[in-house]
Amino acid sequence: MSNPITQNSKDYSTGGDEETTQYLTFFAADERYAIDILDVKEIVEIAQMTRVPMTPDYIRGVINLRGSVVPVIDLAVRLGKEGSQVTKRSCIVLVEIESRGEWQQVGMLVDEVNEILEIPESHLQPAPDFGTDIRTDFIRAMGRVDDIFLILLEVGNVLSLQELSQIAAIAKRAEPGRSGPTEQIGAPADAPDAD
Amino acid sequence: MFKNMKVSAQISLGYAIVAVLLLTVSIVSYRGLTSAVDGFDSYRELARDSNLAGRVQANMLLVRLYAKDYIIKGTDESIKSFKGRFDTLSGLVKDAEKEIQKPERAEKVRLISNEIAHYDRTFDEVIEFMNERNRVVSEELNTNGLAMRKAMTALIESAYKDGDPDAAYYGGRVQESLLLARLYVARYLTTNAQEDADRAQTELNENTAKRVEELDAQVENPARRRLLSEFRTAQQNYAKALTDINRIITERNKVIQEELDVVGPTVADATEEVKLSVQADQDVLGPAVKENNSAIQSTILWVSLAAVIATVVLSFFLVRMVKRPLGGEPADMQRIAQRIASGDLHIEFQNRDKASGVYAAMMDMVDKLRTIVSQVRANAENLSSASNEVSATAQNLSQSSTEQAASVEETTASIEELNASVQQNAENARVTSGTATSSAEEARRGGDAVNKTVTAMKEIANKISLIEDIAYKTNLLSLNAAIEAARAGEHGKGFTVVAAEVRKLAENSRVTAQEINGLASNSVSIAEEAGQLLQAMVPNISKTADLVEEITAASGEQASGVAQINDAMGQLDKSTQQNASASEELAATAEELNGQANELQQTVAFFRLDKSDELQFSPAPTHTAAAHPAENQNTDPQFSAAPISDRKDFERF
Repeated sequence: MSNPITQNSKDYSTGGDEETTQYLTFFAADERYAIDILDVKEIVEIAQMTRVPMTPDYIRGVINLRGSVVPVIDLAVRLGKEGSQVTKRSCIVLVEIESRGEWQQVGMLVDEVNEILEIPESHLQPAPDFGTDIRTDFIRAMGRVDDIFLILLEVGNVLSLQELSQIAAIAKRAEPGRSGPTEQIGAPADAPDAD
Repeated sequence: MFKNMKVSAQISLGYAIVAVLLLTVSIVSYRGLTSAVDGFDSYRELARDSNLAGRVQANMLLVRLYAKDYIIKGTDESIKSFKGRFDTLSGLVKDAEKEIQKPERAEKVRLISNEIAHYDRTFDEVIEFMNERNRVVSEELNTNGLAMRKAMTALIESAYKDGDPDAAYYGGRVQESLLLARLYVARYLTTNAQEDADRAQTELNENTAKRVEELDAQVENPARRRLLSEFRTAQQNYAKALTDINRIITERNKVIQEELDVVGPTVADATEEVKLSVQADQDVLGPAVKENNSAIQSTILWVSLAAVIATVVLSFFLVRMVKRPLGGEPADMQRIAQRIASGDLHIEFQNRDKASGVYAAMMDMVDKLRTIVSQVRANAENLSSASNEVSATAQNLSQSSTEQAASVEETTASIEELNASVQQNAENARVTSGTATSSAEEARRGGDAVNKTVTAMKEIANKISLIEDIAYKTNLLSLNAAIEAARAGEHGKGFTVVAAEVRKLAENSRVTAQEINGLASNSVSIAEEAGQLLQAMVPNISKTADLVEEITAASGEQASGVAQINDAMGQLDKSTQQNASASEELAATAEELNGQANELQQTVAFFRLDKSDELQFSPAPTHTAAAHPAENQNTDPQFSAAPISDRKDFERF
């Protein structure tokens, strides 16, 4: 597991010629997945999580992130797997999703964040029609890293509109006096320090 | 019977008979002399008794003489003479009581002794009576008489002065009667005749009393009456004294007549009887003694004659009897015995057939000695060779005993080494036991240490997981930083690199922590295993300690066993050495025996005998039929020649 990291760090130093995109890799339901780093807002350690009644299984609950309520989705359940057990390695990957003109922060509960990889465009391949045990619309592409293929998730699809609306409703229900998500954009830089 | 006796007994018996005869003579003579002496003694006793009786008689007469003298004179000298003579008499009578033993005479002597004692007592009574009479006379009669006379004289004078003639007359009459009375009293005291006493009484009590009554009627003057009353008092006393005197003198005369005058003749008669009895005995004894002496003289003569004859006969027989068992002259036999003593056994005897007694016994002895000496020679030779063999065997035995002693000593040394090593073993086992016990303790402590180590390792693992967490968080931070950098676009490139480095460091830390964790976990399991192994070792080590203790005990038993073996070997060694010394002594004894056998041979060589001599020996009596002691001297050269051939024979041995 350490070897890919060192190779990837070489990729950092040697890259630049080719068009590359950085991806954050993590584990969920014993599988390694990756998402575009630009979709990631922040990685936070798991904190006190409040379950919300009358919500689907994959909505694990809400957390209080520096004052704002953020819904958390159990990615494993969302991908059709068993619900993940919360360990001390478990993390919440915060992403921002645009929904009807509003940027909504959503947390994804993953088993463990891994590293940041730079994958050139040439190593990307479209998602196969079969052979995977998750919905194909969740897959943006298959990234090849040292002859191992990673599944690059399509965050927009994974966190669908319907869910988003529910999430928004949850957020509104939990926080009626909220002015807007824009205020929160500048905040993430301080977030790690606060932890 | 007499012939069967020993010579000493025969001689003793002969002399005993002679001695009996001598003894008879002596006894007869002694008895004769004794009876003569006894007779003489008896006669002398009788003579002494006779003398004693004569002296007693003489003294008794003297005593009676002095007694009469006293009665007549009444002087103390007479009493003294009487007492002196009486003491002599009583001493003589005591001697007679001791000396005179014949019963009838002794009885007389006892009678004499009693009678003279009686005489003495009676004489004492007489003395008392005399004294009493003298006292009464001097104290009573004379004083009262004088008082009466003076009183009456004073009365008469007073009457005469006063011119009272009646009173003077009657006083004169009273005075006359009084003087008459006193006159008769004086006569009575001299004569002791009762008629004088009666007359005095009459004068005093009748005439004087009558005239005093007449005087009393005439006297009126008080002074004269007082004198008269004094007179009367004196008269009464005088009358009383006169009665006493009369009584005393009468009693005294009675004693003298009835006792003193009876005892004296009795004693004289008894003494005379004693004298006569002694004389009669003497007349019997004298002739008897004389006759006895002459009979003893003749007896001694005859017994002496018989003793002399018996001695002569006995000596004749004794000589014959003593000589018969010897069989020859003692000088001849002495010569033969001397030759045997000098070792010469080649002796020729004359008249062997007629030989008897000691002479024949000596012939037999020489024959037997010859046989025995030859046997002893042969035996001594055998003994010599046998002792040689014993000596050789004993020396072999001694040698082998010495070797055995040496090997026993080696064995003893080995056993002592074994003993030392076994004791070393025991000591080592003991030390090992201690070591095992301490090892068990150390193993237990090691287990504890390992347990602590495990705990420490687990602690380390925990800490390492913390580090791992920190590394993870650092990773998260670096990821966030990288995300921020990516969001920053071109401006965040540099920061991206830094974030990547940080992330890399965090990753390294994490990996290293995981490795350490793995190592620690591994170590924990290994340490736990080590702990379990150590815990498992403890009972094994304890068991080892127990086993080693058993080995110690066994080694101790081995040591004692080896010590016993050691003792036994010591005793074996001692006995082997004793054996060796004993066999050496045996060898020495055998040598000595050998020497003594040789010595015996040489000693026996002292006796000279030759078988060729024996041929000369047997015919000797035949051609010397007549046995003469003188011919023995002729044969001496043959005896001296014999030893030369004998010596040749000895050299052959």
